[in-house]
Amino acid sequence: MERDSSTDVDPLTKLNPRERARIVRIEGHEATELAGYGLYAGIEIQVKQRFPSYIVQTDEAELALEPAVARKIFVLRL
Amino acid sequence: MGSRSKATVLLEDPSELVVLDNPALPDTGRVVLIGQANVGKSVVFSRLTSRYVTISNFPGTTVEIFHGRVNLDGETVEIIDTPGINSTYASTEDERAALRVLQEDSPELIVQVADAKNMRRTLRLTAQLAQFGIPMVLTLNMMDECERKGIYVDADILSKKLGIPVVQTVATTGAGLDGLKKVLRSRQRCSLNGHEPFQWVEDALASAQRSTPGETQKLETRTKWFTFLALFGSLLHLENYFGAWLGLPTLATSFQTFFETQDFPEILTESLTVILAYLLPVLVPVLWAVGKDHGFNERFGVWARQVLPGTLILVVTMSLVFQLVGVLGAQTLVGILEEGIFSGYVTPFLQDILPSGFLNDLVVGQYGVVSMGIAYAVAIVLPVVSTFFIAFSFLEDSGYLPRLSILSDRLLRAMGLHGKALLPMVLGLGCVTMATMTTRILRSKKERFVATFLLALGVPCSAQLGVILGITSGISLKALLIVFGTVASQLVFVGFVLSKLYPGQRSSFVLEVPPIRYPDWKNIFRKTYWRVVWFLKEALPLFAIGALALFVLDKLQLLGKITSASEPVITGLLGLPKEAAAVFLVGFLRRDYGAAGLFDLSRQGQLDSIQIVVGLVVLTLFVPCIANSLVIVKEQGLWKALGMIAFVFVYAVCVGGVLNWLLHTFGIVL
Repeated sequence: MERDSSTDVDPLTKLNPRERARIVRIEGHEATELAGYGLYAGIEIQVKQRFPSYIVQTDEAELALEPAVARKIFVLRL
Repeated sequence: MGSRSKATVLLEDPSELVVLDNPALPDTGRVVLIGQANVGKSVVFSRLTSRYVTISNFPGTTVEIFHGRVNLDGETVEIIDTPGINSTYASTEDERAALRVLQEDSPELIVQVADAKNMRRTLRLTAQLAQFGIPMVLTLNMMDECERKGIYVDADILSKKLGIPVVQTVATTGAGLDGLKKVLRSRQRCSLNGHEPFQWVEDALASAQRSTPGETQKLETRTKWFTFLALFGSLLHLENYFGAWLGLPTLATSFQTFFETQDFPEILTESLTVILAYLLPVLVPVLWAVGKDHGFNERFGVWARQVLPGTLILVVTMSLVFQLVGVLGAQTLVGILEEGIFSGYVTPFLQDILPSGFLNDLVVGQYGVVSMGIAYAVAIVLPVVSTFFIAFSFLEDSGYLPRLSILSDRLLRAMGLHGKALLPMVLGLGCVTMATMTTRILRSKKERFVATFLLALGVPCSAQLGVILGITSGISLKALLIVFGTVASQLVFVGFVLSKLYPGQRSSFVLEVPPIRYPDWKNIFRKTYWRVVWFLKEALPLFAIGALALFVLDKLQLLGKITSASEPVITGLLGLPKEAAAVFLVGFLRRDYGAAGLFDLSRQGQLDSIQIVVGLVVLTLFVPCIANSLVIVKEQGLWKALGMIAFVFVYAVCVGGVLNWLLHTFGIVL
């Protein structure tokens, strides 16, 4: 699994709209909640919007996330 | 164990929204509907039981447990509708309530209702639910949207792999519901229960049993379930779960020790990956053969959540709502009902047939039960509330409101809340009492407190809103903006201060954004109908009682005394005529009652523009009505509730006084 040392792994906030990525890990206590929404390591996502909230698509679900949460999601660009 | 007793209370709550039939236990089984938020559990419930529950396109509409019955070839089966859950680790009170049904009501069957478009998430929850060891049925709902997206799910293969019946439905049209009814007596357990990947759960348990035999025994048959709850949660939550919620602190420590020796997150991810890897091959064509339709709805959904087009859409939406509620409701319909029917026919007719004197005064006098109580409720408030409910139901079902949550998230965060608090706030525009109960979807105590407080302080209910729109449209746009501007700025200011003063953290904003859907008019009218019925049941008696109280006070010569006692405040500070005392008195009963009174005064030409604006602001900020106060006591406890009410009372008068002074000092022409 990728770790911080790898330069390819970025927080989700670094992605541009339309960019696709795969979740590598989620930090903090929100991980549980996000997993329930379908966001967990291994899942492919696409960023749809960055402001006023982050909008992330997984499968057919669109999720709105505040920046503080998006920062804790680490992804690998595809 | 505060949280525990609270959750229990939640379950025992009688419903304020829908009249429950006696949920006494039937003989032939109990079926519980469980699933993620906004997947259609309530539609399925309504379809099965023919009982109405509020249905909308906003995640988290159901905050309570509803019981109903379905007749299966002469046998009744109890159906239980529950709030949405994302996992079997509950983090909000409504989620906890749903899980308590599984734990305490020992249902014979779980019907997992799922969004067929999101199979991965669905199966994740299936795997978690399977651990309860309760027989299951999986209902793949929204098959119509699924088909439109080109997603194909093979229910037969899925059913074989899971070992339980899988049915496909479009609950909104009723398609597939017969198929669901047929399997309601199925008692098959999901094969994911005790599947190989879960060996580590047994290991964890065995380890706990060795170190804390006493507490482990208390878990007994529910063992596996509890373990799972915690494990699907995360290590961070173990203590909260076993310690605070279940009252088994040593067990929490024991599990913690076990997992410190394991690579916990890896185990967790791995076992889930194994489950999904096992199931997903069935669904591969499902997940990746996605032929999307980019219809208008989808594009609208994107615009509505972006800053610029979103603001534009908001302005247009608000002016349409204004046209419907402020113009059609508060002017046209009120005109017809009030001037045409009540003042024109009902009151004169009753005045004629009743002997003059006491009885005449009681029914149609200045504070007559009919001429004031019923007329205010039916002729002034009802048209406004009904048109508002139509507009609100439309917005709710279209899926627009979650987008508004996204737009308002930043502002709400400054107030210690976040985007999800928008639903209670907007719902508060319908009825603050109803909205106060919806604060349960908020995660932290702090958010629930702040939202409840702001609702009590300044969110006008629909009747008030309609009256504000109705009266100010007769003055000027400036008057309307001053009223709204003052109230809104007070909400933001008080929210900001509260968020700094009240200890604790707010939760994070994570919200699923449902697709934009064409609302179904039948559902809108049904929902409006139920809300209006609810309003009449709730309001009519209070309106009559209010008139009666004023009548008695008047006859006892007390009303005059109260009026002159409150004169320094009402006339001195607020600059209102002394008759306004009666308006504020009935405002204690219901805020819309006070608003209707103010409406009446201004229609009689007794108020100038500044008096109207000040009166409206004070009434809007004024104390919550009795019904709302009771709900606040129930949700927040007596002392917090009393504190809130006292603060709101003083604050409303102060703001009104300052506004009155400002408007006069600066000679603002309205």
